[in-house]
Amino acid sequence: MEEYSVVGKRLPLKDAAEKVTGRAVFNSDIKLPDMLYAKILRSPYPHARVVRVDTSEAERLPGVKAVLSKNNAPRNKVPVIFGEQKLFNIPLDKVAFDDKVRFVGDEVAAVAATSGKIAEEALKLIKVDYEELPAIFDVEEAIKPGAPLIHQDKERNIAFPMMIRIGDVEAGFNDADYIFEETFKTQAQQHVPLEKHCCVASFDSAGNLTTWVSHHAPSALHELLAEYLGMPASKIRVIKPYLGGSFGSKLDMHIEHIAALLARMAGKPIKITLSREEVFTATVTRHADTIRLRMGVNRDGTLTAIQSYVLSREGAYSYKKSVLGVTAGAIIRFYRCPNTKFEGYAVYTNHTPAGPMRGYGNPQAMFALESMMDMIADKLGIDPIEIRLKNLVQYSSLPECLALGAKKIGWTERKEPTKVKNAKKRGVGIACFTNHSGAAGKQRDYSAAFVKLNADGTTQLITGATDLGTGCNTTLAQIVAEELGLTLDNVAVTAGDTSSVPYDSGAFASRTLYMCGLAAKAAAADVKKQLLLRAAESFGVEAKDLEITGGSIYSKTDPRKVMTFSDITREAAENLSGGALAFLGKASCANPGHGDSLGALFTEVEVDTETGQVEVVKILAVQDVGKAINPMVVEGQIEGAIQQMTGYALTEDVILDPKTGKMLNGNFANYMLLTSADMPNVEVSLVEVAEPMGPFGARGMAEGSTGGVAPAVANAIYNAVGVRLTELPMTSEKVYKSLLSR
Amino acid sequence: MGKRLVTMTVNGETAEVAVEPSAMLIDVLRDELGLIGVKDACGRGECGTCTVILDGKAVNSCIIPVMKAVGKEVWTIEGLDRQLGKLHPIQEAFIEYGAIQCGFCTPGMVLSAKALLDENANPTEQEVRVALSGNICRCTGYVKIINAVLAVAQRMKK
Amino acid sequence: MWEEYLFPRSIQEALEILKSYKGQARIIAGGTDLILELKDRTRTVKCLVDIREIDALKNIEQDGEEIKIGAGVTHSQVASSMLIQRQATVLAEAASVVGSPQIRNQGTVVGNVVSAQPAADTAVALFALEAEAEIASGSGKNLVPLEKLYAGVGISKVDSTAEIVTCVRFKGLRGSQGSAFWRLAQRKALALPMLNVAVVVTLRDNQFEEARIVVAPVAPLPFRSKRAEDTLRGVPISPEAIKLAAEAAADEANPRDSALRGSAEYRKKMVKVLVKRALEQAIERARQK
Repeated sequence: MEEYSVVGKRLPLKDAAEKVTGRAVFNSDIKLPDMLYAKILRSPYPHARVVRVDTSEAERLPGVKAVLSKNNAPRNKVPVIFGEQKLFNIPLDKVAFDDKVRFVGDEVAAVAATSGKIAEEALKLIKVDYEELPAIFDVEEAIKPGAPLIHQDKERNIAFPMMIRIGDVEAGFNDADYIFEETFKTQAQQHVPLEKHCCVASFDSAGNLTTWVSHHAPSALHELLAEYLGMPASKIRVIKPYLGGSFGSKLDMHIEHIAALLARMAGKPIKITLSREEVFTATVTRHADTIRLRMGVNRDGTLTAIQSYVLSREGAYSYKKSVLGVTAGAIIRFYRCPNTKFEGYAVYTNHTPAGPMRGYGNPQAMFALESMMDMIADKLGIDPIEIRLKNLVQYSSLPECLALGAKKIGWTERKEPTKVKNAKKRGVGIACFTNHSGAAGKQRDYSAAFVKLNADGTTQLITGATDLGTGCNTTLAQIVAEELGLTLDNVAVTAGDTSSVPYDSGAFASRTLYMCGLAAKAAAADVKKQLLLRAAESFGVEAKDLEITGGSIYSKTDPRKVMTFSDITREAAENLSGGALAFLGKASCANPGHGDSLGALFTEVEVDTETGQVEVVKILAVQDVGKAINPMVVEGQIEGAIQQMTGYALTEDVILDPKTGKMLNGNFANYMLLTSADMPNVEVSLVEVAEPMGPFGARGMAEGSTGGVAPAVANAIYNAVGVRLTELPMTSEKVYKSLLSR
Repeated sequence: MGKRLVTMTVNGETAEVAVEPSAMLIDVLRDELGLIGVKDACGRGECGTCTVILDGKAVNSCIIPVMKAVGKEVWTIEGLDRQLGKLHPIQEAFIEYGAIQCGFCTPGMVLSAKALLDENANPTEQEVRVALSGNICRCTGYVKIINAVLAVAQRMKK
Repeated sequence: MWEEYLFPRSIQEALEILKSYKGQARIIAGGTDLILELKDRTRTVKCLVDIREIDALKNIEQDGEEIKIGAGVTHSQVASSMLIQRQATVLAEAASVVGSPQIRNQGTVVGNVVSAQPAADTAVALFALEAEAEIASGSGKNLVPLEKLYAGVGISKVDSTAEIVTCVRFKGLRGSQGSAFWRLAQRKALALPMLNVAVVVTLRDNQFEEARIVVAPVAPLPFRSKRAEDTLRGVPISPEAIKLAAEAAADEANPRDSALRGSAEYRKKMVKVLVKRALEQAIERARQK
């Protein structure tokens, strides 16, 4: 790996001081003159026709300035971020303030008033006639013909099917020496971003809309708003200030269209802030999946067939077809297997809709796949690492990750489960995981950037990238700095405002560093070219005889020939004979594909056999991230993912009322994510095998480890106490019950 | 029910402010005093994001009636660097150790760390974990936050 | 949510304010439970009477064998008190796991009793210490055993619109006594317990002279398992004796099914595990003295 001066360094974030002093302005901190506050009325029923909505009394309440309901809201469907309906021919299924409500929490009306308190009072005055309909909650029941239909334009409660066939699974199973079959269930999980969803929308007197959003994909949102509101995009400006976490919950249009509609109606700025309960129950959750997995294997451990049947719970509306696609992709192509069949259904139920969440279908798939690989290893008497190595796809850097991790965790010492006092038993488990760099071939995935050169030789990177707290405003600047031989301080960043930055598809699929990095690097290279040409002319040499370092351009052959960037810009400015141009680099890049980031997760657990409690003693994540542009940022992503997914493995659950499908634990007190006291001891090891297509060799990496934690923990539990858990989360009660029945 | 004028010491300075008797401390700090560094994430004292230091103790300002702060000393994140004229060592360590991602939990987290170190200048890792256990973070996994706090303790020892 | 917020300087003054509001004023100490009730509108009030400035309520005091914890004393203060750690270990342990550091800095031990939640950590420990509450009202002062203060889940017999619990008091633990507090929860902070167990044992030679075993939430209030306690009285200390007591406690306990915190069946089984562990630890501590 090459040595760089800025790339590869553990540099602090450029905006860290702003955040640590409390000066950073988030949406909820924005106050505009005359601003109104909006609240949303939500359905108490899981499934009902909205027969009549009477908002007259609410409208008369002093302080109320605008009310939205099915009586006056647009009837066009709400578009989704990836435009999947166009890409995959799946019809949109959501109308704002529809004639029907499809989950407890579905929107029925919205009120804008001079205070949040008045808006809430007004909600109570809205009279709604509901006609309750039979609700359906179980995916196996919902998928049956004749089940109560949640979307009238469908024949069954299937948002879309997904069928993939490679080779011949029947032949593969016939050839197999052993066949394994198991059903795995994964739960819905909530992102729990610390900053609640919040949006401010304001029209000016010329009908231009400015909206401040807490959103992953301002460029894409810009298009959606234009489409939905029937306005030209040139009259809309989307601004993303500091964003307090999202992990996928702020990737769709949850409140931005409502704020804009109310702002248009009221003629005043509107702020909507969801309550914490609304964030839990009325945005999106991770897809809960039932995965029936069947694998055929030779005696030597090589795979002959993989068959899977997946029911993925979409909930009331379908936001993302690609989640099921990623699940399918992980099951089918993680290991080398000539015969696979995937049959999956995205099933509508009367629950909070499922949507994108970090990992995006990978965690579900890997829980099933990596659990079963261990089941196979156990039955065949093959070491779990060995069996994975036997089935890896050729170009993988996993063998290096596995070897490094195995050594660090003491893998070969793991054979005998050690008995610790008080009936506690320890075990070690592993699981592999994968991460793509973006969504090439699956979604729109392109990015553009400008690099502007200031007169004094410092630069401005103008990027469509969206920093969610993920640090890209710093790492992208590191890339530009490296390309131009500058220090990080000499690269400022403009981002998060559609009126000044170029297009970027958005922050998803781990694409930001990879794609915005490619664009930033190329834009910087473009400026570099312009500088070199100008200097070459000035020196009377050829551009290829020059090199750039430390903000200056040198002749390789004559070291006396030196010009700083500001020398060049001044010379260009003083050249009144014409031909002087502003130095501006630009680039527009499409995802070239590649860039998989693979890794292995090792964990040591301690199982209390009397209570079933599982303590994760240690987690070691080894991931090939390509070139780590900023190792501190990269580690932070892996550590954060581990917090989320240890919760996924053991304690987090969207607990539903069986009668109404309503989330019962929609608050911090009862949603069991990990506190600092619960966090295991975490070690991160970065393997850096350069990705030739990536900026300075980097790969998209921030979602990868999400796939590894739950199966590694399940495998470690098995190693400790010999029970195989197939349902998440692996609560103490579930572990206890499994131990009893062993 | 009208507003009344009350006085408290906020970030080392006397603050006279008109409040509703039933206002929570967080609303007065944010809306009347413009201290937007006090963040609101749940309103129920269940996540620690709104943590301020009241009379030397870290508390959840969203469930503290403002009246409890009358005549008392309140520190928000804004007070730390304004008082010193530069970043507090805890703030510097957070920056240096990569303990900040989205930044939303950061003000509350720094104040909980400060409350700990003011009382216990040489905490063990376990003590740090417990002291911060009332502050939820969803971005960092707490790892670099704990490292930063332990590093500050080391430095302040010297 | 309220119109007036007052800081009386004495118990007498507080009682007078309560009287004058005729049920529309209420005592507030830390407020960690009360404020949520008021925000949720499960309770309404015109005036809050904050006891913070009342000197008589601010301290942990030792009075001979007795320890008194004033109504204004927070969980943090109790957790860090050397006196409590030494002479009421079970209470110090319970106070150190309530909620979160912020909640412990604000919430009070007395408040934990008055909020009448069946599994409130420090209330469970106080039951094992056989604590009494001193209640001041218009008709004078009363000393009431804690178990008499519960009317139902979340419903206290203390009328905080007319009277004030000024302190809780109990006999500090002596040389032959040991105690322990065990909690089963889904995470180590910010979690209500699936199960709390508090135990005090009195040993003589190698026998149990007496044991107090408290389990929650298995009843509308912290539950003393008399059956379990009876199995140990006068009995030699042995793993078998501990096992029998633990089984008796589990037998007697009646937890409910909770969608959020575990099934009745599981929690009933865990009573046995936790009581056994708490007894073992309490015995070890008694012996170390």
